[in-house]
Amino acid sequence: MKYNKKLRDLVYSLLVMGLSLAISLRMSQIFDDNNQFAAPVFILAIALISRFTDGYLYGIVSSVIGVFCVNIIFTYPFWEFNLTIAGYPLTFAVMLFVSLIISTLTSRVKMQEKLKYEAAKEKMRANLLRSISHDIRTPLASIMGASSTLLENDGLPTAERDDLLREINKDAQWLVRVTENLLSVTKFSGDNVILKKSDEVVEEIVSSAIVKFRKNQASIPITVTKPSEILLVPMDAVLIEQVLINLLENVVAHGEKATHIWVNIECRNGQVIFRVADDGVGIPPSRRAHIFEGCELQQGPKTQDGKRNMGIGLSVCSSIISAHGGDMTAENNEYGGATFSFWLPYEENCNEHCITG
Amino acid sequence: MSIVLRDKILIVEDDPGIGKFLKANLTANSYDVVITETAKSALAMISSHCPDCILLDLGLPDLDGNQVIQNVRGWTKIPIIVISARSNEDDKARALDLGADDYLTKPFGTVELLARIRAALRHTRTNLENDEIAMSGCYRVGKLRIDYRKHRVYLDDVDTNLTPNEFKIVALLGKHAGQVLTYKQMLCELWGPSVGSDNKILRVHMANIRRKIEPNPDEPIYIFTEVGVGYRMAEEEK
Repeated sequence: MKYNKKLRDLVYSLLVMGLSLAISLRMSQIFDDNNQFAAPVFILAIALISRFTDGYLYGIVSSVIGVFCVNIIFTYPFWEFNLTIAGYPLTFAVMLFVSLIISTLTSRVKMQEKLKYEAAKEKMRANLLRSISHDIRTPLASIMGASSTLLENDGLPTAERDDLLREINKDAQWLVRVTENLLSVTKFSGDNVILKKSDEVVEEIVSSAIVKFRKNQASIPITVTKPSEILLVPMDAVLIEQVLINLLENVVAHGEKATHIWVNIECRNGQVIFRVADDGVGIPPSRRAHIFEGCELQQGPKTQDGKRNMGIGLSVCSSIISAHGGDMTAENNEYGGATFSFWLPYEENCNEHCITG
Repeated sequence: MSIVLRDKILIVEDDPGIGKFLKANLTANSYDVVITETAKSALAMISSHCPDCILLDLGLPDLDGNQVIQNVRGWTKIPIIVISARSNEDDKARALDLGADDYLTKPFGTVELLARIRAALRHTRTNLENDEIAMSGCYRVGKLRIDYRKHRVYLDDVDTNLTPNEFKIVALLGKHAGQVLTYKQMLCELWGPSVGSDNKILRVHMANIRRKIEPNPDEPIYIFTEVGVGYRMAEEEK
């Protein structure tokens, strides 16, 4: 990675220097050996190099080369290095100075960008922690309450006892799902994102997610539409499966009155697009802007009727997708319900893999 | 009065909470249960108690669970069911490749646990991999029938027209019904050890198989995907 960048910087610098040399030579031909253009052209080249390469090295080296070029090629006596020309030290100083200033400015801008990015990440992490603690505390309180009720009251009627036990079980399952998401998040903390990418058959991941979703949820019908050819797409299968499960569960948790889920897979322009649509109430306008940020708890205790926050779920989804180099969106459908869609990058040479039989 | 012979299960688990619930549950389902917290004592107990099945947590304090599997597989075929935390599919696959029979991901439900134990015990009852196939030449689950003599797979008594390669895959999974087979195990069994670790061909075949044998390929009921690990053929509880 780093090596590639260095190579890129080097190639870029050489190209720019070469180009400015060519321009200066052409200019001196056109304008009859009048070489006053050479110095400004090289200064511009040095500015460009300092701006678009990392660190100071390329800028400084280019300014030294620039000075020599101007001196040797474009200053009388031609093709000779001559230190005695008046103003020569000034040209050298100006070129070096330009290179240093621009390199410094560039580094500073880059540093600021990095700080800004860090701050955004920190904010996201804080939001996540906030919604996680909320997500965990509610079911824990209910588990504690139910279990101590069971321990302290011997004579509870069987029906009531079973109710409490079922409640404990349900909350524990919820906690399991929250921690699954947390585990996925840990893959993204720190700078090195660990994606275990391999070529996966898209429909296999989708069907596996549906089977897992079925284990926990009611029997809401799901219709899947997919292309007839078998798509092999590079992805971290476990994480993408998690995204799909989250989106399906989100329909049940939030798409009130949803009676049907449509999963659509489409392949076009180097993208595989996944859509999960429902016919529920859709996304409330107040939540739409921040739906992937996992922080809709900030408005206080607005979580209505014990509907639990899927905030973490969705923000996990969106960070998984961006780590894959894709993007995720949420919108309301024209005829009711919501559609969550995401795409993953995909190279369309799959036909060679599509073995039939 | 008859003596009831009960299957003995060895639980190797260092978390007391999980150990306790496993023991309570298995005892309630009429298994004899022995429990230990370390790998070293587990190895000693396996030779002294001769359990019928081992539940092995991979994260043990003294030894890596995989070392236990390797050690045990050196001299016996006692079924081993690995209990592991999620998030490391590679660990699961490695444990299976080393000779574990199955795995459960924490947290798991008791229904799933009992089903896996029954499946593991059933597979070691006979020397044959699957006694149903040995007797009738067929493996049946739901409306699916794999006919090992005719090399055909029928759904609702209609031939599913699998290609020879597809049949080989389904046949292999049927022989080990109820158990996970890793990609590596399947590739090695089907195309020999030199085929390498590229499982793309297997995956594409599987997608085609599902389109032929599953009533609804989007919600498979006969062949399940264990994401990042391998495949499992459904098994009917009898």
